[in-house]
Amino acid sequence: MRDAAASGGPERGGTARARGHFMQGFVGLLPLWAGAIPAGLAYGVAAGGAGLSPAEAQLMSVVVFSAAAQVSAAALIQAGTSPLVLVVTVLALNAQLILLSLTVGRRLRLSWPERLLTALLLTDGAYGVAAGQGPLRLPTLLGAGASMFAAWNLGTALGTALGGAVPDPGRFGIDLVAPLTFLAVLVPLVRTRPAALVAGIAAFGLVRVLPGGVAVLGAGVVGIAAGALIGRRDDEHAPGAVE
Amino acid sequence: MSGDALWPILAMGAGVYALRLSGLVLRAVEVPPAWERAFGLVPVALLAALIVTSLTGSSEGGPDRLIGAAAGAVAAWWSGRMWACILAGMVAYWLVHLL
Repeated sequence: MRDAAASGGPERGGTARARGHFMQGFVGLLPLWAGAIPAGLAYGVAAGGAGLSPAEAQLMSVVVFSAAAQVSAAALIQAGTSPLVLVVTVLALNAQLILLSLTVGRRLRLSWPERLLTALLLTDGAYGVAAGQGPLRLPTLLGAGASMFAAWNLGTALGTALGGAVPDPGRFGIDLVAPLTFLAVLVPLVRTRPAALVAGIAAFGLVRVLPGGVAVLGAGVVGIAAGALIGRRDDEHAPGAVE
Repeated sequence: MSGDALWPILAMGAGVYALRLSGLVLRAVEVPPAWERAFGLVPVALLAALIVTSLTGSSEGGPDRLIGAAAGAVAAWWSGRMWACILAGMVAYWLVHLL
């Protein structure tokens, strides 16, 4: 698209093609709305239960745009965690975004403005949809990302409205929504990766001896250690490994 | 809480944006496979810890919350769907709470 800027004709053709790919990504992600809207809704309700105003809850969906991070943030805010521990935990929870970002960085050659724009909308779901539609194209990735952004923010708005309609959230056990959302994310992970169980069990132990927010961060460190140890053992047992 | 949350929200937003941008900029960096696996376990450990703290941290951490969580876990295991997990957990919690 940048190369076609010399004359009007190819530029217009390139723009039309880019718009087509953008829409292809946007529409391609629509099936994931079925998961994103309920998740956004659950977050909106949990955020309200944690004492965030609807505007704050929505702002987080715009600037953070990550289900696991935001539901965790709601739970940690409710538990009275200090802002520093809150921010560090949420970032640790999203460390995997570095891997996703590296994958996209290697597959697409992007200019600086394109990088800055892509980083706003990059999620696993959007990458999966864009990569599933032939060769990876930036407009398709951005279209899928915009689609997920719309679904997530729509779900959030519905959730804060629903949460606001309940007069006394505590009485209805609304604060249970956050741990249930974590369970929904965690259970399939444990199912496909038995190693995850090690980290989980370690986390249960840590929570008993350390204060809330710090225990959560400590569990992250244990997770890294467990992953590195298990990884090394796998490498030793891998076929072709030097004995 | 209102107002106090603004700065942490903006800080989280800036941090997550930096994570998303990092690989697009440092595209030549190679991550060792062991580190990739370790990265994968961090969210699991953090989520497990968050579940424990948010189930037991509440003022009335009665058995109704634990039963709700157990029902949610079973639903998540069987269906793999978030809404099923939340629905099963909340219904179980309300039933135990009412009885």
